[in-house]
Amino acid sequence: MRREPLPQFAARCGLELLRFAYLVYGDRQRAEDLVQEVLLAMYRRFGETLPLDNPHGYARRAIVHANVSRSRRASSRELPVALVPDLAAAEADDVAERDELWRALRRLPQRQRAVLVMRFYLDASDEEIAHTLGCRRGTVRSVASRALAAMRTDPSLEGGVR
Amino acid sequence: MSELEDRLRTMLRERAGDVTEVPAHVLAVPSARPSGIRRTAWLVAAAVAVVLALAAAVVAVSGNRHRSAPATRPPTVHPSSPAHPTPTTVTTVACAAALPAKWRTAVQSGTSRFGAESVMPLGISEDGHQVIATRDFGAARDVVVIDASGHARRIYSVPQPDTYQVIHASIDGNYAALDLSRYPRSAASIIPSAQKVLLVDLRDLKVTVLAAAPIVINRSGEQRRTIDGSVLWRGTVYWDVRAHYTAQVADIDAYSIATGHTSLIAHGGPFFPRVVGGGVTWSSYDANTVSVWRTLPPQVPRAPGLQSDGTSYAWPIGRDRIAWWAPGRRNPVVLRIPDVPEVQLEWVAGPYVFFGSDRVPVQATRVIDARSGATALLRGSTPLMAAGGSVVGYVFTGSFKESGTALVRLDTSQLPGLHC
Repeated sequence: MRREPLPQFAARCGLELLRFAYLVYGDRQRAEDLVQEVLLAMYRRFGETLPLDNPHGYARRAIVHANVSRSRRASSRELPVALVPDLAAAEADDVAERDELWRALRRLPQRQRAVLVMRFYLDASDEEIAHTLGCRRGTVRSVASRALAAMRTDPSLEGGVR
Repeated sequence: MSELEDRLRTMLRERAGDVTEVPAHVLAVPSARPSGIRRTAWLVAAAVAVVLALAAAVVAVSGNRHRSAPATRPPTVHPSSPAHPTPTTVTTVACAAALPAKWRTAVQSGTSRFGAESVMPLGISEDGHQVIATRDFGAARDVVVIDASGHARRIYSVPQPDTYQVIHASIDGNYAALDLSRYPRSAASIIPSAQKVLLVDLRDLKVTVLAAAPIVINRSGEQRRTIDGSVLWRGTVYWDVRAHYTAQVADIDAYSIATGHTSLIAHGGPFFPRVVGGGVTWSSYDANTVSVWRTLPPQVPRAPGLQSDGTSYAWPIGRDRIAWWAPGRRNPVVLRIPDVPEVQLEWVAGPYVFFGSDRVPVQATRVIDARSGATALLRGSTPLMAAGGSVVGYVFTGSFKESGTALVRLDTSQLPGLHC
């Protein structure tokens, strides 16, 4: 079993983890918060040295799951109040908003997004994705299939994409 | 492979390329971890503390059983010190000193934007361990709690961030109070009032709206019902409510976290409640009459303009002197500042007293070491608050719409003393 100091791991993989979190979540600042939280969680669990064969995979898995818990939590954060709301504003940056494909990806449920990012950005196998998500390979295939189908029928993608 | 899959692959790689670096604070992990023995000791200490706290609570509850309900009473704390003590004091004449290099280094290393384009500190816990600040990313705005290790935890995302911003915040134990205000990015000026007073439970980030005052303009062009702002102090959130924006008298409401009740406790104003050295006040800045006093040591007078970070106290005497006292000292030290027409006492943190005057340049503060009387000029950064020996302020970065700011945090216990 490899033993890598956490600061060394953070320096080695921090950028890749941040990119991964950004692609899965679609928000740069939230991704930074997530990576920071995951590194701190690893520190709390393992201390200064990581007794892991694949700390990168562990961190990636923690990002996906932390992200799920966070999005569940966010939906019940604020109590309604009788104020006249202004028009809703998007949180993403302007550059992101210009890209229809990116926007369509962001509209997908979180689990579908994570599968597509792992399959098409990380080139991960279904088995690797299943391990990260904690599900079966068949589930990965069906989630990916539903995600691609949803994107093909997304009305914002001009003319549809096959 | 389908066209969609190809496009997805390309788009994801392009997007990933947008992220070219990781902010240092994201990768900052603690450098030491408590050993098993230390953890056990901490657990034992925590258990003992819980038992003692429970015992104290039982005693307090039984002692207070015959009093009226706390939610309906003004939570007044009677001062333990006389209004005008006459201690024997030591007078020190301030002398000029150069700011040590370690101070400059500490300012640089204590400065961070926490991943945002701009960050502004809004409050600090009484022990100085937690700072609450608002971040602006250019699109999103949020509120974070920054712990002593520099880890920033998002506690609130500002809804409709191009239109709203949190303009005041305070933190106390497991709770934070936020004032959400209409603050459009394009506005030349704003009405500095709170549209919502929010209470955030830091354990589960549940947000409760304590009060609301939507912007409604009456026929004379004036805003109706106005809340200027709130402060959370020792388990109670205080805020003011005025009938209209220019009204000179406000009702002061208080929400007790323990009871969950809101009660009208005073007519005050015209300024919103805020924490000062003596306690909580809602008087004008000039009068600075404290309404809810904290318990003060006998050496410390109930002086207007009193400042405290919880570890030391400072108060102005006349126009050119500052008195300073800290536990362990028998008497206060009086510091006379020569060549300054009028000293404006700002903050005290440990042995260091921060003050301004009309001779201090813009974007600079003078700091005096009360132990030696040495005074130095702290350029570039603006202290905003102090607690538990820490000073928190901001510096302009000029990188974000010419008004970007970064947060500066100084732990004065780590700084070398000033000497002439």
